[in-house]
Amino acid sequence: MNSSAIFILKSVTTAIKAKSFLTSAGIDAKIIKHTSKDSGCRYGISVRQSASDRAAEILSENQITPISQFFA
Amino acid sequence: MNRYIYLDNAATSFPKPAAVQKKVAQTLRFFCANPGRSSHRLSLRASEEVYLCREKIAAFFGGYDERVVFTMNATASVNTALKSVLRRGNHVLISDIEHNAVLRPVAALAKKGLITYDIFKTAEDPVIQIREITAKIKPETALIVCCHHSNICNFTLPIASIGNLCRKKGIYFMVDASQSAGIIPIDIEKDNIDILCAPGHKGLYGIPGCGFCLFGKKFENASLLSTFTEGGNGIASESLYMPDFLPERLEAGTLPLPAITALSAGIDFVRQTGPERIHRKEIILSSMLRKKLSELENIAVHSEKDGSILLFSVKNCLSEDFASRLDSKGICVRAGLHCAPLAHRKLGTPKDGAVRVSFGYFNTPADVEKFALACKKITESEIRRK
Repeated sequence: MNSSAIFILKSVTTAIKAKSFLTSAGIDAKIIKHTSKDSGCRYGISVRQSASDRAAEILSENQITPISQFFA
Repeated sequence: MNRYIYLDNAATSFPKPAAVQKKVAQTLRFFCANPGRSSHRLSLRASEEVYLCREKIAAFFGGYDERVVFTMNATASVNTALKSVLRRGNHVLISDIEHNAVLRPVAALAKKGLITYDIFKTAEDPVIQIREITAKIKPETALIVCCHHSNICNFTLPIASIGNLCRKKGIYFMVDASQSAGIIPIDIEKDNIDILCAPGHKGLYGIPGCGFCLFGKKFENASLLSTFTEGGNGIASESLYMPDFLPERLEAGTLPLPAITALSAGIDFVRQTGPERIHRKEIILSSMLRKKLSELENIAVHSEKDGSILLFSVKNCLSEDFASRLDSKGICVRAGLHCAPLAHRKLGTPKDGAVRVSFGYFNTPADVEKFALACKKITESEIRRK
């Protein structure tokens, strides 16, 4: 089963930008919404777990700092 | 075939370009969901369209996409910016040709005792302008606000020079570009603008329902901005307070998606057509009309320069009465004070204001011919009657 790496971002605006950067780098990225009672509703990006390190690098290169990151 | 001639483009441009009409129809038909709320495909498509518009605005005016804050219109943009930036005890300078969009919110803040303000004399010569403003700056001056281009005459303020002065003095500079956005080039970096406020439905050829504030570099830390309206925006719902980053800090409630996508298409139209070409066309039409009206003895043209606007009054005829007579001939213009009492005072127009003709890209020389002929007929009938 393929698992995903989830990057939780500050807003939908940031998620759209992140998706654009990742897609341009050839990484298949999907915008997701993540809600919890603690953090409220947030948008994020889902990529294949195998692409998570490269995705983190690309986000960092583009000054996008995830609020949190986890695997699902 | 149109049965009217529309010369009220300073109020809102009309007709809208075919691409704008098509985009609105597509939005309503295919993806008019709530942007930034859900994770389903339609909401995400809506969010992407909103972001695309932010990118286009930022590219057009030389700013950064995440500092584009959408509002209902330019007046809402001015209110949002003023009430986010100003603090108790601040002093504000505004120009003597401001629209009520600026004058009224500033006057209301002063009436509440929160701020004080003064009005500076406008001058197109940058040296004279800077001298006028400098003389009015106080230690507590926090903000200078001015329009870029008047809504009743073709007067353009030297915003780059004013912005430079503000930068040197550590004062915020805010520009109301209601009449210039899409017509006269603006670059918030080069022009030293901290906040640019504009409507989407005038020179950018979108539809009514959407305006924006474009914040400059100084607002990278958005917590400097007080919130003006609060509410849901799909982000960090657990918090009692608005997010501390732009644009979401200043955007509460559902965004006007059809107006935002229309603005995207409108900006494309302006870029493809070229703001210089649009403005040049308006100047040519204005010049033609000035010549024709100058041949009519009962008409006094108040605009000194040709541009997108031509203001005139008619001897022995109230401006609203004249506009009404034009309307009966299928011609749409605006009369009265145009929400700009300060500017009318400066120009010395009659008590009842004047008649404003405002051109847009879709006007033609034939419109000018028909308009001038209608004016001739009306003024001649007035002469006969008096």
